[in-house]
Amino acid sequence: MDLKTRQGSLSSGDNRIIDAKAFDKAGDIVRHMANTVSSLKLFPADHATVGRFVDGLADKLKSYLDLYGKLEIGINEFSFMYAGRILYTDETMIKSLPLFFFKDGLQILYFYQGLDRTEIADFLDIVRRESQKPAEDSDIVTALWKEDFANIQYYAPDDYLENRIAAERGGGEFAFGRTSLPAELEQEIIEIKVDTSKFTTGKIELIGADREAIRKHDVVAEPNILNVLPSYAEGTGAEESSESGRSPAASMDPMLNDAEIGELEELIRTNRTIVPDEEFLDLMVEILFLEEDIGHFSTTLDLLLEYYFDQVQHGGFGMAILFIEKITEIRDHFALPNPEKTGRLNDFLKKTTGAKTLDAARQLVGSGQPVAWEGLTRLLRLLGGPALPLAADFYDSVSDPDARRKILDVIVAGTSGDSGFLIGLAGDERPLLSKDIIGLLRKEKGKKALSHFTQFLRFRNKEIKLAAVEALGDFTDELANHVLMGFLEDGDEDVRIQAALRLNPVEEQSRIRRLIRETRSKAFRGKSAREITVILNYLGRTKTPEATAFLKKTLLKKAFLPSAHNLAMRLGSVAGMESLGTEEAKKALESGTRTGKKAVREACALALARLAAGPTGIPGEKAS
Amino acid sequence: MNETTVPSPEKPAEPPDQRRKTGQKAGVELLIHFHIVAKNARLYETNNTLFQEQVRALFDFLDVFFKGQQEASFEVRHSSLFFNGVRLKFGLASYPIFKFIFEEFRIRDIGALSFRPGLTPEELGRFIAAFGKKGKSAELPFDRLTADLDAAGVENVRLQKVLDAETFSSLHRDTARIFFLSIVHLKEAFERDQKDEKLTLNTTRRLMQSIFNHLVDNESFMVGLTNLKNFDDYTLNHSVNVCVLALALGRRLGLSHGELVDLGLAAFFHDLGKLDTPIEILNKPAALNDEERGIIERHPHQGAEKLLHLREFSRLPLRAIHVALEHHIKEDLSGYPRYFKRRDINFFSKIVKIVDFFDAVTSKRVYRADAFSRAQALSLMLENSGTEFNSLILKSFVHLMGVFPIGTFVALDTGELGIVFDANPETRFLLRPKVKLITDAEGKRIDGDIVDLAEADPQTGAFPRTIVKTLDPATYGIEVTDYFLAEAQ
Ligand SMILES: [Fe+2]
Ligand SMILES: [Fe+2]
Repeated sequence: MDLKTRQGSLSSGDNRIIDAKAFDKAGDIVRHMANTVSSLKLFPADHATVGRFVDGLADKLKSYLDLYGKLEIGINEFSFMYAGRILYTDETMIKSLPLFFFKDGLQILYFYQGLDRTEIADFLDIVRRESQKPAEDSDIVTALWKEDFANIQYYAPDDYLENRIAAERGGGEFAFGRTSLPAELEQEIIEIKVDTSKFTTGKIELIGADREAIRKHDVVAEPNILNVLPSYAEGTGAEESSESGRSPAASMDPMLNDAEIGELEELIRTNRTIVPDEEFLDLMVEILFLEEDIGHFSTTLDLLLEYYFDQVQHGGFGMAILFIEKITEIRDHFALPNPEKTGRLNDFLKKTTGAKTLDAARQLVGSGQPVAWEGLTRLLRLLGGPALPLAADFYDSVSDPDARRKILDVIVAGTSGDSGFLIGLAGDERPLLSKDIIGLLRKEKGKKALSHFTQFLRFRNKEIKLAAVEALGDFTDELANHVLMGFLEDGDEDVRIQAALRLNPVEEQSRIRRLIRETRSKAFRGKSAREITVILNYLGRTKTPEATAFLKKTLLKKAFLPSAHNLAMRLGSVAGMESLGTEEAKKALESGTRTGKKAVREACALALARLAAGPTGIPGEKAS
Repeated sequence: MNETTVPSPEKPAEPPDQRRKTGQKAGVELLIHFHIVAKNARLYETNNTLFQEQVRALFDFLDVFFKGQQEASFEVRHSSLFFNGVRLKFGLASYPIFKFIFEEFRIRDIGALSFRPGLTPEELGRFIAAFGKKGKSAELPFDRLTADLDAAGVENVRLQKVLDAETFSSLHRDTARIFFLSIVHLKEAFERDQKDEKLTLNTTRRLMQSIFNHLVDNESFMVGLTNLKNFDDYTLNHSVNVCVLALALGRRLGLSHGELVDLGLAAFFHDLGKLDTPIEILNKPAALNDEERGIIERHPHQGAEKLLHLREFSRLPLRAIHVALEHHIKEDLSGYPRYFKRRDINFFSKIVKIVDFFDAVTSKRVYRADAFSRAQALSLMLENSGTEFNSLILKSFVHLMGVFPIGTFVALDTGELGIVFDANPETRFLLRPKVKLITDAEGKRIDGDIVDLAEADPQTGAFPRTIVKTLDPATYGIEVTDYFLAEAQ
């Protein structure tokens, strides 16, 4: 059948008899299809609205195909056709569905019975995907061809391709649906002219050697070929019965046995599972390796760098690592023979591990998209020191405990035992990380770590400070006390109390004297009863004569003007005495049971009772 | 019996996926049985015991099948074969059966064939006998066959004539146009590359589909056209040949449409790097010195780099870069270029390597007066199977090309000379292709018929024509491709 006439019958009037019912049903289907495609552009594919549209279309198509077996939709520039009659028209350039098919040279769509919802949904998805691509990338015919639907077929004649190739060749504008070529191109391109008169002119005389070979029945066919075609001989057809043990399919193909077919299919399967990015990088490395021209070498590296950042920006951290590793490998290879190439490779590596990578990673995490933390943390680890502040920022922002664990590993590995560096990453804005760093240092209990705890004195975040104070309590060290004393100056009472509770009763006169002095200060008068108690309690724990004297004096001191502060001081010194626990302290407490103030008397009695019962820890307070 | 429309079969209550699987399995098995029987119908008398056993096996299969199904129906639509509404997929192993069935349907204008319950073994035997009978060429094959079936009282095997809409099979002219358009398009691409302009890869992709469609409809003619060499420019013509042959081979190997587009594109651009090779070296009419060889051997790398810079913008398949870079690397990793780390060659590169080598050594060049014949080339390649070429892909390629590849110039035992135009799908007839006669027995040149060497004399059972020698067309001033192109005029 000639192409031209076939086309003619499509576009011009058609004298096929039209079944009115079928025509209406077909019209309903294409209208519904257009609406479904519109809904697909508005909503995600799993949206209920889309689902309803697809269901509806699948139902309508099924009902049509069950009745008629096949639906053939002609495609004109702005219309769908049915048996030569216009079925549907949409002349809007942007969303016209007929135009969308027409522009790529698609002329007929066929739907066959057997079409199910999955296939129609896949078809619609292809339409959606292609229609959302930029014009120069989109081709619905190629997309349909690749998908190779069983029950949806199409007709897109070669004329379209011819026009397109001719238009590209002629540099002219390519017009949709143009069916004839400009005469000069027609000439240049495809005039097939063979002078057949020579076919019937003259005679062929075989040369001597050929004649001789024929006479002697020399080799007729290449023996190598015959060897790999085992059943070439004009046999009796008995091979079917003699080939038991082979699969029926393999027995049809004498070239390859079952094992060979299996092997070949395995090759094909492996080829399908290539990871494109990895493979691409591998090839790039080979191309770089082979490149002799330093200019090209740089151009290719630039391309690779772009690709690298593209990977990082899209979360392909695993690939990014491979980039760095492979380039490092090739750099090491070139190190001696080619300093120029080595230099370029080093530049590349510097850029891949620089600020741009960190910014890209920060942006990706900040965007709220799902992040492959395994890859990102591996990358951060590879980037080392400069990446640690970023890792530290990520720590507080992620909620996945597994991701957090990975980030902490990066941080620990990156600071490699330098606790100053580690504490340097803590900060008021990173409470989770700060607390976990404190936890790590607390486990370590090293003196070096302790020296950096003074940093926490400057923090504003109470949680962090409390964690630091708690950790300091584990160190039986002069230095820890020094930092805790610092926390006694903190603006927050809870911090001060917790610090006081954890002060170690290390004998150091100056500090005790200073504390005693401070109890008389104006600031001290503002403190709560609880804070006063823990401080006096600490003084008791120091068991120094100076503290003992001070506590005794405070306990038994009669105020001329009774005040809440005075009472708090006295009750605090009861706690201090109890901590002191010496005979002298007990005596003082006994005296206390006879003082005029009822609360003091009772506190002294209780303290004495507890002392008689044995040690129970720090009286009056429990460390929180 | 008359043409009937195949009514919609009862839909079993199986889920669609299950239906597809069982349909595929049963369909292929039935095809195999039918293939054996139809093939042997031409060789044996109907009372032959082996033949009767085979008919019985086909019947038994159908008998079991009808316990669950209302019919067993094959239908050809747009070059796909459907069994009871399920499209059958063919792979490497089942390709010959599909080819056979398509051919049998095509020559008889059959669009659909269905077996119905109620069929008896005797009726099936009568159907096969009528189906296998060779008709005279003047008759309309479908009408003759249906008349024969009516006469034989066959009721439960029904045939449907191919619909007009399904006969989109291309004429030779259309196929030739696509072949030459490919050269034009590649020339345009090469020129754009030289001018640093963007390639129009979407067009190239469409071209791959068209070439493939023509291969499906008209494989032997399309393969015949690859005998054309040095048209316009060696590299252009060569690249198109390589592309056509790669697609033909990829199709045999059962690659998907998506893979075929990529393979075709990769083959099409495999020698893009030659644009950077100085023309004096490419066309040097003498052996190359080491330096010149070094320059030529850079073309895979140069091609890969060119493609690399295209990649981002047009989504060129990665495998095109593989193929450009690897098509001269041998199976044992020798050849050029030498890789730094990689230890394997991409599957597509292995395919292109084979067809590239084949097309190159069968081309006459300024520096090579005597090109290999196609058969000699295959023979040479087989000697290096496993070291230079992947042995399995090479075997498949040899199978595709045959003992006497299309375009081979042959002498027959009748004294006539001819050109191989088509292979016979049946393996037992690998030495009996279809041949276009170009001289009579006395050597007088004629524009003769295309004769099927597998056709035996019905009286004596002897073959009237047999190939006795392959000849070098150049020795006799024969332009093989002229005979193909003449068919396209
Ligand atoms: Fe090459
Ligand atoms: Fe090549």
